[in-house]
Amino acid sequence: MPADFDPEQHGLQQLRTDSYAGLIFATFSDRALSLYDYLGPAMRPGLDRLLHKPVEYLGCVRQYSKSNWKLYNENVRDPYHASLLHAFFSTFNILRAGTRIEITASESGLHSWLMVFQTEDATGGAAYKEGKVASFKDGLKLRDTSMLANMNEFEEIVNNHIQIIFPQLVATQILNSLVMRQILPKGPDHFELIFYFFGYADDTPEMRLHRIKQANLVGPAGLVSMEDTLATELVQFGSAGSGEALSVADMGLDASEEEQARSMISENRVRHFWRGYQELMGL
Amino acid sequence: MSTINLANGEDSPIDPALAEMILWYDLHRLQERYVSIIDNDRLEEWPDLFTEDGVYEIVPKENADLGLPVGIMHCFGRSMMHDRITALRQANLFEIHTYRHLTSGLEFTSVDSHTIDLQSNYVVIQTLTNGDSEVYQAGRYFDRVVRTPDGWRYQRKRAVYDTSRVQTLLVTPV
Repeated sequence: MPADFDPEQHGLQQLRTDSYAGLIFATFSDRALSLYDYLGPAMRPGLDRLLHKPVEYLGCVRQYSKSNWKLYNENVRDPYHASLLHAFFSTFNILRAGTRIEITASESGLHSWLMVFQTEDATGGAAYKEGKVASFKDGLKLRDTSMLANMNEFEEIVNNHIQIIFPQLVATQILNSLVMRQILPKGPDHFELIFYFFGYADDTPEMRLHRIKQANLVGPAGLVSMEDTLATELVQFGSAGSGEALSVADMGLDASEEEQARSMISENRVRHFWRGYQELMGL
Repeated sequence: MSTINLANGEDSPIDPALAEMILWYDLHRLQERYVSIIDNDRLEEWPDLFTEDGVYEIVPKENADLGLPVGIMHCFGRSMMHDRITALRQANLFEIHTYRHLTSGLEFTSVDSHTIDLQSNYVVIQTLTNGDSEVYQAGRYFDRVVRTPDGWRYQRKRAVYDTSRVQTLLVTPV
């Protein structure tokens, strides 16, 4: 090394870091908004809700998908695939097309937050039965249904809280399963999905056991969601050979923004995402 | 002199070395049966190898090493194991696949005359529809087995896997 070599001047690149409610974020950008403003008034209440008291980390699991990371960004933004793809959702009424929901989007369109409220379905899923929706399994019966219990621990009974903070974070509550998912792109054709499980520091031993039991619901062997990465792989596989070909489905476009925010059958959040992405990338 | 439990239910004196060989044979046979049930798609029989309140878990080594409880599959009792298989047969969507288990290094220690702790290595090679066979998961079983009227059964089976990421998904128990 030359005599004037100063290690202080040749360190690793420092990232801008900041935290919100205990979640640590980092960025390579000097121009990005402050974290507080980046999350914005539409998203902060969701993170406040999940992180309203001290948490305890319970471990992580990792899933690897042979598909582009943006496909997963679409997956978590489209509310209608859940009751079509995941039999556990529709059959056990954790989420059906008629369920009461609320969708909140950030101004940029890049973040969004879906709340699915527990909703009685007096028809017992008749629409699924009559419509012969493949995900509705009339004969699907569990011997031990304790895994599907929602022990209410919030102000209102919410079955799903799915909140995406672009580009990598998906903050979720499914029944009593609390998970921060992280999307790690690995080149254009692969991504890793990490599920960080947590509980609250004041969980009773029964609640803690219940959360471990509900760890069965999500993750690479998740009973309600293992198919997500397979679905993104099928889309990747199906579209890779199609070059410039395109197809358009104007799902729910006739409805107003307000109506779409209350409907499960809407691709509005996916459109918001792409609009935001387009702007961000200068496309 | 040790004793061996004969088919007629009576204890008979036996050389300790021979008793250990018979025990090793029994435990090895239990493992072979376990592997055969999974690898040959007789999954409905899988819960039968456990006690009624048996626990089956698949946990990544990174969590196990840190004493963190979460894994990718947790079955508390045979009912939950049956439910896993019901979901696999009726609910979950996945690519058709086969597993081949390779196990090695079976070790055991007696807790008492009816309870044994077992450990062994496993590798699961998965073949998907494209025909490629790849190492899907490598790990170690941490088991506790108990003597029952039907033979040795798992009271606890914990598959702790070294492989960091699960490729696409896991639906079939390892």
